[in-house]
Amino acid sequence: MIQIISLAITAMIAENLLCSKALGLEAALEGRRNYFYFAIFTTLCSVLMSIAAWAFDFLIFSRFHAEFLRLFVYIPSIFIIVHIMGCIPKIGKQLPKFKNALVFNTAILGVSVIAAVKTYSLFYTVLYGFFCGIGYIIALGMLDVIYDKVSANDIPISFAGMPVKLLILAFMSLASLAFVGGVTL
Amino acid sequence: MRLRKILAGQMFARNPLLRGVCFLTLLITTTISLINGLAAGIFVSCAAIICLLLRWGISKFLSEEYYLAIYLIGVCAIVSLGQLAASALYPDFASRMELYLPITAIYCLTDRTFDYGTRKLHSVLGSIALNCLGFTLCCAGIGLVREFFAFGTVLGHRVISNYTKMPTMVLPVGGMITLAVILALLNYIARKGEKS
Repeated sequence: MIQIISLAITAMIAENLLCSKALGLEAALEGRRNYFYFAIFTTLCSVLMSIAAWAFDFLIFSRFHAEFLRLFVYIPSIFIIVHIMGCIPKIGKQLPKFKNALVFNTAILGVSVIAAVKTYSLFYTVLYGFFCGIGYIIALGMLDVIYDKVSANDIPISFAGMPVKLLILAFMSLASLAFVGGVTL
Repeated sequence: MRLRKILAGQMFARNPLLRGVCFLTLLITTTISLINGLAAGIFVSCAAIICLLLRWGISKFLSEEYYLAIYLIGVCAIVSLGQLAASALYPDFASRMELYLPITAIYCLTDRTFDYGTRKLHSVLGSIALNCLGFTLCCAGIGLVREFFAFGTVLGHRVISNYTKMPTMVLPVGGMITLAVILALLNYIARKGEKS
């Protein structure tokens, strides 16, 4: 149990995809979307991709030392998984709105690469993918809420828009560093 | 004067690479020193230009149903080869960027990498060259600023003696703050230009 909690804190906060690795930034800076469905799709995609990455790495790449072929598998897998998610009853209808944000989201590819590099078991890989997706969505929501509060005030025109969002993200990233510990050079 | 405006516009102000449309993750994470910034800029520019040429090439000969599949495989091949070349030539840079270099493929698959301007070949190539030059310069500039603030060095040479190191500048935080300030500066210059 302790290991699962530790994995959750690592994936959601200390190694948050958006804050500590700056993955999926473009989707984050694009702004408003229906968070409920986007959260479901991102988390599902992240879990399925981490399973796919684990399976391919365990069965093929690490056995035949063919790590350089990862991209040839991961990117088509993202396309296939997103396409399959469209067939899920009820929520599948909402997918077209988020298709681009999912397929071209660097966070999804990032999760696959990290899941492949880390040597977790399948169970922990699934959990890692799940917590990464949840952490990404929480960071995305926090960014938008804080941006709304900040932009309601007077901010210099030059800083309006993306610069302010980047600064907010920088401070969120600093906050997540507290869970990592001291930085040494 | 007009040339200067076009250069400034294509290289920086209207450059889609610097407006947060594309390559933002790479710009923030890979530019931790001047050399790394230059390497990242050159890697991304080369990959993006080759992918664009591939897209032009295959779109003329293939129907739409085969086009995407072939383009996807082509992009993966280009980026993987680039990664292998980088790990052979600059192993330190490649191992540090193990997570981020593959991401270039995702960006190359989108059609938001370049601001073409017109459809004429020479102006398209000109725009792309200026976009890439602007992106590489920006990567190098951010790398320079971050290296200076993090270690007090430029290209590894100490500029300020007894400098207190700022470790956070080599983390994504430093990249975000530097990019935010640069974008605000570009906005300010653009607004001043519009007024005058």
